[in-house]
Amino acid sequence: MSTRTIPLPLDTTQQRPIWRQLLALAPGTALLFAVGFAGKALESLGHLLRSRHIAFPQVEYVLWAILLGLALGNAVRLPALFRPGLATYELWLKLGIVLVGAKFLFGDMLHLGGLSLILVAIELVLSLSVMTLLGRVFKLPPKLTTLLAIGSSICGVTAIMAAQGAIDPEERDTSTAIAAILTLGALALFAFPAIGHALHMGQQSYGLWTGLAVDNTAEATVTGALYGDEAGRIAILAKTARSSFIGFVVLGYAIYWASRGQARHVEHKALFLWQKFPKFILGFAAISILATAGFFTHAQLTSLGNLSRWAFLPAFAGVGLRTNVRDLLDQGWRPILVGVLGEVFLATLTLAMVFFSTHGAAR
Amino acid sequence: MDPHPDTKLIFNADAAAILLAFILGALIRLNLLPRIGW
Repeated sequence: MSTRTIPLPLDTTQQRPIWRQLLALAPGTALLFAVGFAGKALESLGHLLRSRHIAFPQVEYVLWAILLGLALGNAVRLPALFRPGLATYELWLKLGIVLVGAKFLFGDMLHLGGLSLILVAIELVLSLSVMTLLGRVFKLPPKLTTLLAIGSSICGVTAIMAAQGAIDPEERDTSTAIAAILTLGALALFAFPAIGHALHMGQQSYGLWTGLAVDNTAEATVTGALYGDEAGRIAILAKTARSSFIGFVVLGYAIYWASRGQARHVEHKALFLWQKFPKFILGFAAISILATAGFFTHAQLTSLGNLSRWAFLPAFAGVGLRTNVRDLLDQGWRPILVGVLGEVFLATLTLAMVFFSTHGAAR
Repeated sequence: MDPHPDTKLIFNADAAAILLAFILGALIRLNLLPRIGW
């Protein structure tokens, strides 16, 4: 049988030579780095101008990169040729997270990560129940409620994408849930640092709070970094602890929807858990173990930390660039409202948990 | 066939990030980055 009789457009794109695939990534990747560098340049410009007593907003490169990305992504319609490269922001984000592992002693990682795991477990149960309840009250489609619950309790977009393959939702539900999570993430970027400063939170408690409450890994990393270096690192640690739960929650929902005949049955549960597990967490832990074992000198650790900050630069630019305000508003108010109510609950709950756990630890 | 095409994408970014991090870590460990003027 000849395959030529059925022309498959997908196959032809997959068979493109590797250099053409890499070339397709170039424009968007270049844009990510350009926006990131521009953010860095604006921060330096601010230092220079203020040292000469010229008024200039005191904004860190993280926020500049996001603001520039938001402005560019929403003011002009970016040509399609940028799209493949813009998607690489996830690679830079994960690279930055793996490298930041060098800044943690493995013992600290186990201690703080263990504390995070306990808090995450409590948070998961409560937030899944509250989101499900809210979804019923506001009469959202049940699978959309499931997606929103997974997205807001664990890991934002990654978790929703992981669940999409497992519970077979309507495509529109997936895009609505992702839009709601991204809108809330964008709001958190501005709300969390303000609340943190108002409550005079320490770097560690703020980082822990952010990692537990902000949904998307990218937004959690940024929201933490906006408060300070240490807060950024702790936020990443708490967020990775939370992300490691993805498989279990998605598996739970997959079994639930399969039992109602509305999704495929999961045959190999262990394989399913492994497939859904975010593998970059293993890299994060491995670098931390190497650093703890004395594999790197002090100067080398500093270099690794710097590399990690460089990797975050295009990632932060990507957070701004891919947030399209108009798309988010087009999704209707009900999912957003359910998301906002759920998030406010989640943020308050995690703030209380962080307050009690860190005060308990200080005794 | 991969029943969950999305996990393939996630895995790729994950694997690439870990690989890249270890290459960079090795370059730093062997002090090769300063030699190429970085």
